[in-house]
Amino acid sequence: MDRIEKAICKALLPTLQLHGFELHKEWGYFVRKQAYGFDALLVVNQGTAKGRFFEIKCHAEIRHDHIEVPWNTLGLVYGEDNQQQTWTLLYKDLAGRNAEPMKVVPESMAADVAHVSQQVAELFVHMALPFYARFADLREVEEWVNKTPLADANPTAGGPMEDRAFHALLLAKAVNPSRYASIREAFITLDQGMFPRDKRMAMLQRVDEIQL
Amino acid sequence: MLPPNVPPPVDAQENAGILALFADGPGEEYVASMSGAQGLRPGRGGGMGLQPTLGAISAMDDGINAAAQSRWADESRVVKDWNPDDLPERSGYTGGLLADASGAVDKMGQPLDGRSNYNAFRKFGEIVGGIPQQPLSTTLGQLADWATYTAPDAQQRAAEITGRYAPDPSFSVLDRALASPLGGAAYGFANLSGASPATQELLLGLVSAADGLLMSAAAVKGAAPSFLGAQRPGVMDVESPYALTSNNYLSGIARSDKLDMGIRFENVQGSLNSYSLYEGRTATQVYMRAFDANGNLLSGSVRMDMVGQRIGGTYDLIDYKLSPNSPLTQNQSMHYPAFELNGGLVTGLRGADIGLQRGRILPPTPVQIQTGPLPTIRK
Repeated sequence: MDRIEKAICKALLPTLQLHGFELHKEWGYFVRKQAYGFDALLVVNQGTAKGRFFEIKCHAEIRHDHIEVPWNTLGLVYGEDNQQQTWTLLYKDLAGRNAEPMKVVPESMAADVAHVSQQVAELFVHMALPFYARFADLREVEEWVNKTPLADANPTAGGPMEDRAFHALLLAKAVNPSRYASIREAFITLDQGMFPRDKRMAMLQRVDEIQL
Repeated sequence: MLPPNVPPPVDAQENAGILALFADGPGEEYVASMSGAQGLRPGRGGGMGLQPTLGAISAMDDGINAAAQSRWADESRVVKDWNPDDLPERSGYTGGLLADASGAVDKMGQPLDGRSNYNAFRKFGEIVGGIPQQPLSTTLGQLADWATYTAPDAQQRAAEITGRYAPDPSFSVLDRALASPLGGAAYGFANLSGASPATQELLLGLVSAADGLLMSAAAVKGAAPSFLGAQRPGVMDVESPYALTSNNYLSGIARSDKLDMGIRFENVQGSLNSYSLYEGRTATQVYMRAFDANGNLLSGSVRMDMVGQRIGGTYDLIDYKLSPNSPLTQNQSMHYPAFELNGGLVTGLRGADIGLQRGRILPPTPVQIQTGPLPTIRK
């Protein structure tokens, strides 16, 4: 965490503590422990690429250990601590792509931090909390992810093709086995991803073998 | 020519020497030669010339009056009675020179072929001192002669004086040697080795020319070969405190401007790439680490300017540099090649924007370095 992220998180802490969130010092974001895993709110300083200001983005994520533990056996994430932080669903950029970016200008940092903190708090209340509530149920997650299998348009399922594919396969296999075959077929047909096809086929075989 | 009835000049006694030449021997020959020839011309200085002898005057000018002839006859008598001991005192004369000139003197008593000791101030005093004993016209004539007189050896003396203060040839050599130390060294070597003066001159000229060419080349390239001695650096640092302040100020401005330009280039080019190549699926300033050949993480991390996700699911790692000459940092030099060979992972949270969570492994991927519009920025 840089000093801007810390300042915003410090301002957000009272609001989020009301909903059971705590700032995880090592991970650098707010976490609320749940029976299924945890809910998290990330406040990220994206740096100066957009000009002479820092752009702040806010993401919400939800983790279901029932899916993430087997998923992490695929070797997509390095390190045990990192594997404990993987998400099942990510609601990225709560403000939306078309929204005005949340800015912190060095010359007016204190005021900008207060303003951004207020914006994030509102996003948390109006966007993140409903997200956590809805997808606390794993069946809701499976329904959301596999409604259009491996769809690029699904914002919360975005990310590397392998991540989305194997989350979809594991969710279907865990919650809705009848859909597993169709998802598997879609994955075989869809020749995309960071890794070579033979490696992805080996990973698919690994998912096939996992007992959930 | 003196007018008639003019008494002999005061310095007639001083003319005794030259008149003596014509008393016998060479003097008679001279008078004979002058009879049918051009006669004796005025002196070398262009003023009053040698007073002609009585015979010469008769030969050259028939109109000369009897009084004048009588005067010259008296002088001839003096000549006949001439005794070398009767010569007036001639301070500064070298006896040898005067003896060589056989005692021939001009109207001011200066030797025609010897070394003169004419003193204009003394002569002026003599003329003025004779005023009570002679007519005014005589004094005026003497003053006119004095004012226009030039010693017979005036040219020789002038040449001696000029030569005394003329540049010595050795000074010329020394001057050229100082201008070209390499040439001076060659000259000295030739001198010590007993080479002829012509050879020494040739060596000095040739080596000086070569030295000049080398120094010119050094000036052009901005560095001077120190072994030549005569260093003429092409570019000199300005040591004025004002200039230093100005240079520091400009340097600071340049650094600030380059940083600003780099950010702006990254912003513009990154936005263009984000929408044209990745349809907005990009994350900026993503911290990443690369694996070494053994699968262990390299020390440190790099901050990737942009990570873009292509439709096919692959990711592009992009680093924006303002210039092709912009150097890589130490970590970039270590991690970028390793990314292409062994892959790496995301270490921060900024990859979440494109679904790259912390610790996500990326397969071997080359880092694209996109250079900016400034082609030649030097460090």
